[in-house]
Amino acid sequence: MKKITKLLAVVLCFALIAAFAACAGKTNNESTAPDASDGASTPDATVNIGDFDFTKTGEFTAENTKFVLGATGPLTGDASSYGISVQKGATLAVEEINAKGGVNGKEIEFVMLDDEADATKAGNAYDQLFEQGMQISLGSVTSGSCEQFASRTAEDGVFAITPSASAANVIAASDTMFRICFGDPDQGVLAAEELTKNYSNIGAIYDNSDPYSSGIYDAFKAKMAELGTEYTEQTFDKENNKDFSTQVEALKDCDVIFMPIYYTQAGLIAKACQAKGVNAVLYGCDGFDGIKGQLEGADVSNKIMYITPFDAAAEDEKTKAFVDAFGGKYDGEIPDQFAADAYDAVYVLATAMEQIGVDNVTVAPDAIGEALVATLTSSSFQYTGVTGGMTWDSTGACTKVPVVVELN
Amino acid sequence: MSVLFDGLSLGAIYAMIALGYTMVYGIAKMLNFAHGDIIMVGAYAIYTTMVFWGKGLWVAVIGAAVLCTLMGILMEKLAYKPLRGASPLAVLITAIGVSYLLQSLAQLIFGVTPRPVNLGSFGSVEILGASIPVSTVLTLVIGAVLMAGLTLFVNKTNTGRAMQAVSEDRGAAQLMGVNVNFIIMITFAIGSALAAAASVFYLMQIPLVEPLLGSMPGIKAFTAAVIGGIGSIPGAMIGGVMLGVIEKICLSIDAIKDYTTAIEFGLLILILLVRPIGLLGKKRREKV
Repeated sequence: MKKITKLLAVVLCFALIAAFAACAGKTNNESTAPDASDGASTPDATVNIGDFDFTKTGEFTAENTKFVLGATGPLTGDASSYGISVQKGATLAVEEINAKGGVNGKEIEFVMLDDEADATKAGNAYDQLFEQGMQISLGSVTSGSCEQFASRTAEDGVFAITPSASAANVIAASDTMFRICFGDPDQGVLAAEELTKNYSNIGAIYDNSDPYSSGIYDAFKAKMAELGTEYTEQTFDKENNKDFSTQVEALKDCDVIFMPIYYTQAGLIAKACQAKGVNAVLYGCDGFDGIKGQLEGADVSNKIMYITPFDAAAEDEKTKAFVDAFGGKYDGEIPDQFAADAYDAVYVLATAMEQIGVDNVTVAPDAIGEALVATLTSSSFQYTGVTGGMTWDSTGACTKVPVVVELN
Repeated sequence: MSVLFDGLSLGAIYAMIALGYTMVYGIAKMLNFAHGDIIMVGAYAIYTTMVFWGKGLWVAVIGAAVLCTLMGILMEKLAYKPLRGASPLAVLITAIGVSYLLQSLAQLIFGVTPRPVNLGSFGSVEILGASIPVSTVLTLVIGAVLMAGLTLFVNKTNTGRAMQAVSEDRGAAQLMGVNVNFIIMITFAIGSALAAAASVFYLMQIPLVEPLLGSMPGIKAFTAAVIGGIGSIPGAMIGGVMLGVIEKICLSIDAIKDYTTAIEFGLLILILLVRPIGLLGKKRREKV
């Protein structure tokens, strides 16, 4: 019995990791989010700063000497790689901003507490942060924690923008909860446009038993119908996700195959293509770079491209500067998507705060929160960071244009 | 055309596994449910030799064959031999236990993450206007050779005839001087070696190892063995190839591809209803 319990524990641990990987890395379908429009968050062309009272001091913020930026995330435990990435990216951004004189002349203090990707711990960490004078926040790193975090921000009016918590419930739980990471449908739409433009014989394969895969595919399908592009569709499901010879056979004449799927299956499809001599371009979505490990030593010659919010090898100045600064601070480490999203999140907050001109470091969280919501949702606000150009709607969802990169 | 070849090669894999089930059933009168997991053991053996030790394919294949054979013998000695003469149900439960043991061991040693393994690339050839991967051709040819060899072995050698004798009547065979324990051990060894061969061809089609890799092919192959008539060697071959071809044809037709597994097991039910002993099963009069 003891052995079975142990085994069960091991299996559960793995399941947990898988769950975190899924919820932190992937974005859920952003459908009808609940009505988030209160008076302040109605999108306006211009935000009237006079509407907000920044002299109001909060219960716990009276002693602040800097703006306090709070966040929680897994800094220990199984999902800690995500939390540590976010911590590194955000710390770098805060240091850069402070070195340049801070926001409206005032510095930012960044406090990140460990929640071990546990919702209850995230709730407690929120209370601790709030009592330490937190005025603005990056929310939590993982979706479960961030949902808990969001429900507290709804009570206190604290503005939070999460780099990575992608489940729809997170931003639905609070009017002041926003996010940086993008929604799956955006990738499907982009893929449909790009493929229609560049290829004539298009194929697509997706996992119809997986919400992430079907979420992207449904948007792709709708956009393809709108564009009037014909393509060949193939599916698989979790019962039959190993042997792809039949699907590859059906797609063998395609120039390109759109694959909104996880990298394990993508690797198997690539190898099936190689075995059958199919030379189509393999076109994946975020996280597709994981296919590299699957194809090590395999003789796959297909060109592999994928959509991603962040490409550390990109040539644009912003990305280069970020990758250099990150490597300089953390022993040559290359930033991942989480670090990049966190870096952008801090800059979005700083940019919005500069726009509203708040310079009172003892300002009450709800006062600054209301102003930030109004600023981010105003139609004139947009921010271009290392993860691309971004705008927000009143649900807190981010619209950004992903980039397409080629895997070497 | 291509679908047919894919089906034949999948069928050859099923047939090789089904042979293990059917031989053990025919001779030891037990269902060795851990047989599917022997494929997994073979696959991990290949993975370890090729990825960890950087050895070539042939070393890996021989290593897998040796390990699987030893594993089969060990399994028989430790788990099944002490139960000789026990009720069939006890043996069946033990087999299921061995199956879980092997799966859990693999999870403990290698973790649950599926790992990619590359046997190398073989390219493809033109056959009758269709481009067929060489790995498929290899599976078919070697599969056919192995099965022909097995048939010859069973029919023409003394050990093979002894196996048939044990299968017919264990007690009588023993009285005639056949070492029943030895024959059963040989049966397990041959079945497991065939499973090792199956694991090589499986990895050629699906280059990914994971602890539960053997369970689905194992169940499919068991189905094939029952369809062909469990206990019958040609039956297992026919059942395996039939099931593989049906699976691939179903998967290639859009309207029914989601029901492929249901169709396969539906076929099993149908055959059991119409001909409970399977296609080539022998009728056996129960002695009262």
